[in-house]
Amino acid sequence: MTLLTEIDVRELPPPEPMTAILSALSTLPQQGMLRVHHSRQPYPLYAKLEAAGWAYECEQLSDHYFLISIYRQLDSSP
Amino acid sequence: MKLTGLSFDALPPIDLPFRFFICAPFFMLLCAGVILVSGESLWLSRWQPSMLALIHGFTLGFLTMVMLGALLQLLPVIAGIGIVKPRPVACFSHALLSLGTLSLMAGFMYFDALLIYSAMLLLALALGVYIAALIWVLIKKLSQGDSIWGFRLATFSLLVVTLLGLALLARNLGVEWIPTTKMVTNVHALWGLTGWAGILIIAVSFQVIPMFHVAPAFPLWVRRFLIPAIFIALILSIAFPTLGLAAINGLHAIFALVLLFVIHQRKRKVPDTSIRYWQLGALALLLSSLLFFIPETLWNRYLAVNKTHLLVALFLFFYLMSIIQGMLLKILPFLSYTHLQQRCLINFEAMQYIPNMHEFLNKKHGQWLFYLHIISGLLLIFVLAWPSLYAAFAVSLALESIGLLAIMLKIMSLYFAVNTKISQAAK
Repeated sequence: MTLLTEIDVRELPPPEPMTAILSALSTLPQQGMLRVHHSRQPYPLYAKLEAAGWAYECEQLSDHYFLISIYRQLDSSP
Repeated sequence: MKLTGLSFDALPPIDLPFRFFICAPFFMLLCAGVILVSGESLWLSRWQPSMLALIHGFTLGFLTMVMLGALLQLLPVIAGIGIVKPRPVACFSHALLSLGTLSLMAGFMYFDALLIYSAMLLLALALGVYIAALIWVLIKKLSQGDSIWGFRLATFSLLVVTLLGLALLARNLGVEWIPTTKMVTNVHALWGLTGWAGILIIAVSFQVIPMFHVAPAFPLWVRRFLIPAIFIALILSIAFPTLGLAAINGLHAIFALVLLFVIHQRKRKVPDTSIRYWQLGALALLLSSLLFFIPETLWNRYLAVNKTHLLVALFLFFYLMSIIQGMLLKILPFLSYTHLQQRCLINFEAMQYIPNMHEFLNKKHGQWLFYLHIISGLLLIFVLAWPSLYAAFAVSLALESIGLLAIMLKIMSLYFAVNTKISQAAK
């Protein structure tokens, strides 16, 4: 099973990027990572991701090109 | 640049913007009522008390109401940071803005000092609290600088408009804080229409058009210089009204042309009522900006309509209200859908309950509203020339407001029904 899933939502109007992200996250393996090619920072998504137990990193490649990596937060419970 | 671990605000609860949006069509309906009961005399002069009630019904009850609701959602989306304590700020400002606008309209209609005093207090508190909350966010260093600078200057303009409005009301009650001259009223109106509403719409368009319609970004020189130039022209207009107004109209014509060009360049040319509202608004803005340059003597010789009245009607109804209504048709289904989607991050099973986007807004209903808006706008232009047609305009406006209200109620009820279903399934 591949651990890295990539989707490009740069040319999708809202709310389609979120639909694509949700759909990809729902099938992501436990140790997997989703890499999203986005045209902007989906700020409100970040807060919701953290609340739902996901971690993220964002890298800005140019003015309108962002690479967002999403993966499950490490379980710190005993 | 890497970004990780920073704190960003989530979208505030959806009932907060909804409460602002749902009031807007009621104020439009109230405006239709004012037109109907005031009769032909309403259209004789901009200084008619019922005309002042009508203008403030549109500008405070409809435009400002929607814009304050939209800003609650736009700031977290564009800047990553929203208003602090959104619930108390939104509930307080919304309730007092609604009551204050009603009080102001009634105060103008019946010239009742108590109503005017109440309006002053309610509107000062409503707008004062909201402006303070906006300043708290906008003084921070935020990304998306071009639009954020627009938000800052629009907020400053709203502060100027509010203070001048309060001073003008006080003058009517005999408290002379400002000199008795029409110049102050003109500054109040100009800063309201082109500073607060106009600059905010331009700043929002820089984000919304490329994002929602997959269009290219506005040219850098437009994003950098247009809003500061309009603001400088607004300041210039205080001392040199003719020069300032000419500059504002010239700059608006440039914006209208660039807006039409960017819309034309969008990648997905699917039929969309929201984009037709933007195109209608841009054409009306271009027309009003060009008509401004026709000399008064030439105008009066060939045209039977008062120049200022026609330009304000084009700018307010065909430009500002078209864009606001078009944005409502876009953001209401989007917000409903997004808020439901975000619940699925915790429970992916809930995705099955989310309806299709088209179920929130039937495309046909959006189109009917668009045609009704055009009919209302054309009737408004006719009424300026032939005031006896006022009843037709009032009826059309009432139908438009009922249509908008029906669309909103359908979207909101579907949102709450699905939200409840997701909560019940999670138990």
